[in-house]
Amino acid sequence: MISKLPLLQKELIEYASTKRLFILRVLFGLCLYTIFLVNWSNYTSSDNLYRVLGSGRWLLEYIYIINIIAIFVILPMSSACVITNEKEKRTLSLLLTTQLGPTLILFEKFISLVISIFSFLLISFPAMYLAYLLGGLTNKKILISLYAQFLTVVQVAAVGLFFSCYCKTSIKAIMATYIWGFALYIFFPFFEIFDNVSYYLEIVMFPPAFYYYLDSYASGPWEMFAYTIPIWISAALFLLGARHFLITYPQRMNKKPMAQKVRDDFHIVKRKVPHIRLPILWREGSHSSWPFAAKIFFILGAVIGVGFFGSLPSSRGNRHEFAMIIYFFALAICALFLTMRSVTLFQREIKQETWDVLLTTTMTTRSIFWQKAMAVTRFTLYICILLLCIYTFNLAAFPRSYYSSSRLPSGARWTYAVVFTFLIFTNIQWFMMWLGLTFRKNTKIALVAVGLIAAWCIMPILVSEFAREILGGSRSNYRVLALFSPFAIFIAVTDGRIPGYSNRMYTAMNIGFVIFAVQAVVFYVAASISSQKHIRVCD
Amino acid sequence: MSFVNIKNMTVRYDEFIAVHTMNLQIPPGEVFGFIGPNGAGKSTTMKVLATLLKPQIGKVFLDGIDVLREPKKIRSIIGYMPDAFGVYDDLSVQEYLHFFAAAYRIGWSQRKKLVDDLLALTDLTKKKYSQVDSLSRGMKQRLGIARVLLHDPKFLILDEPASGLDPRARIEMRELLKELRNMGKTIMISSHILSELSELCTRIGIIEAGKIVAEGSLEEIYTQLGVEKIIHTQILNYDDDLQVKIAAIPGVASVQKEQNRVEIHIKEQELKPEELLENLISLKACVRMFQPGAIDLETVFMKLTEGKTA
Repeated sequence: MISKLPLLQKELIEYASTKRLFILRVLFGLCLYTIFLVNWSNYTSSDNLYRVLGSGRWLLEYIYIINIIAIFVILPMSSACVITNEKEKRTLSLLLTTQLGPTLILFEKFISLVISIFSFLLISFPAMYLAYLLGGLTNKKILISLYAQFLTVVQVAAVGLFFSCYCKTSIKAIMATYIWGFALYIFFPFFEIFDNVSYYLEIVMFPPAFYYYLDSYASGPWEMFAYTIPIWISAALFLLGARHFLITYPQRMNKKPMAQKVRDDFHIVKRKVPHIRLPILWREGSHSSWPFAAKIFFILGAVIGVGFFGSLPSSRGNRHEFAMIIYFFALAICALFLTMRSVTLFQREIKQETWDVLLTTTMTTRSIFWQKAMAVTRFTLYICILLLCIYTFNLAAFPRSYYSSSRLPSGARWTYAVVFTFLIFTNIQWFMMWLGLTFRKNTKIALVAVGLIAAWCIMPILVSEFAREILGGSRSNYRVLALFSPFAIFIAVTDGRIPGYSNRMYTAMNIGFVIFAVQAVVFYVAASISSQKHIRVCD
Repeated sequence: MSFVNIKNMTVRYDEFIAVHTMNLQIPPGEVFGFIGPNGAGKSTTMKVLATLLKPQIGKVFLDGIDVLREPKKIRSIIGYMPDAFGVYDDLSVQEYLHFFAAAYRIGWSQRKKLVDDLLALTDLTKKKYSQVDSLSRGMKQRLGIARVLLHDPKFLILDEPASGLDPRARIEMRELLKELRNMGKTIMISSHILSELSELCTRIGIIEAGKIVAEGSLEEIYTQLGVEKIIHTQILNYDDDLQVKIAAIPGVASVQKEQNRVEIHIKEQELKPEELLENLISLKACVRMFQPGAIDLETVFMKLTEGKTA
């Protein structure tokens, strides 16, 4: 049957030969089983046999959450690239002229995505089996967890495919998918202000929530399916949209952008002779960066506005939770933008075929590198200022009573927020610039970069947990490892403490400062050395 | 003294040898046509000259300067236009040239006049304020030429400047290159359109599988290979008897009667066209037209190459 679906066949062959996916699977397996074994060890160490026997329920929940995170991290990347890759290789027009047709192309791509993500999720099945042996859960609960995962895959793949068909490049499609994904899922908690509406919306539009609700609300499989109809409809709508953009791709490909049309038709032209001293910095600043920065301002401004609006009338006294969601959403978006911008800084020139021309000018290698670096540094500065503005809202949303003596006071948190926001984003900038320079010819470097950022946030926390389980002793002894994670640091900055550290927060934060300061220097030196080595062959 | 001097140059991409022990000299002021099948090593050679690639073996000198040791000096005397070059879509034509003028560190005071002059030279003045991405392919190529001329380089490296252009744009490009030739620039140009090169180039080099198989002026190569030259004639009293007499002239390879003319194939190293004309007159041939055919570069190319890649 598969031979009748040539595109699916090709995709599966490509997946099978992609080294990156094997590495990702191994990393996912490591994360999953680390968390599983840590929790297994916690639950089974109890002397109470009844507590041990019922703990399968909690273990299944952990596995479920990890799988859902994996879907949200991995699937947007692969689904957003699936059509844009064809566009970038200029093979999409050829595909559209075959007898496959847009519907079948989308169907085959969609199936290949589902198969590829399930190759990840299958790794968790032995852990689920172990959880089942410990009891505390029903067959129905396991089926619901699988069904909810499947629905999440369908929804995320549909959103990714939609943007893959709409956007011109993989980078844009990835960013749009993540932003929309984030926005879609943080949007619904705002409806908590309208109690009844929120409850219904959360059930019908957020597939991961089915795991918690369907068990009690749906008695049979048909009822279960009925609850999930809105998800299927939304996925179908996204796929229809994707199909529309796929069909109209040949026309859109040859169409000039609207701004261009306006310029030509109405002669809105830039007649001023530019006074350029540092050409690369001028171009990055006055042209490509500004729309980009404008987008950031727009998105984050919208987030602040919605978040602020959403948190103010909250009657439940949990507006600080909204503020925290907003802040972490903004952090994620900014990190994503900065990562993409830094890692593709040199690759964009190579892709646009402007790199060779630039290298044959009389500008020195150092000058090219510094002008590029200055452009990104300016961008980093913008986003740090924006993030600190959002942080201020976040700080104001927390009630004074929230901070006990074991948490950092607001003055200290504000100081650390300023220091760590600049430090961590500087780290990201130089690390990604180094990565982008060293692997500038790797077309998938943007995906690798996003994966590395996710691993950087999660792995230190997991390693600290795992080390404690294996080596024993106090949690605080190993918690220092978690300080390598930017995520842990930002939790401390907002929550006033890192879970596991009780009264030694100042020490922890100072250690964190040293870690990130040293890292920043290392990344900066690595990027500088790499620039001398990789920008020009003859220098 | 040669302007370009390549000695025993070998360029490898891992195991793959793109250019193999190449030796090449180009005198100053020459327009050197670089011909070869796809994958023969033309672009690789040009990239070495443009300081973008480093050969594993050999020496390369431009105007007496070692390309590998002093690439910074080299960059100030070369103008490189790759076969596929992108333009910054978000810039206007004027901004694009000002951007590169700044990159070449041309003083602010000179830039405006320089950009205007180059736009006039490349016939792009009307498009000064247009966005670069709105230009046609031919205009983009001309803009590329304007860019390489910004810092008034002595040596231009043009990789397939006429590829993908329509006939009109190709003619315009050819005229522009002729102007550059008249300005005294040394030019290295690669192209697949052989007839264009034969009109434009003073020397050619034919490369195959990473090796130069022939190099010199067209006449020299033509003579080296013993390629027959075709003389198109119209002889009013042409008959079988006259045909036998013409074919018997030493140096005439063959005589063919076409619809309204006679094609006489001669071996140029033995018989010059003017000598043939004298011979025809002495045979009392009534010659109405006598036109030596342009050197057929395609014949030379086909004779020398087998379509092998490096």
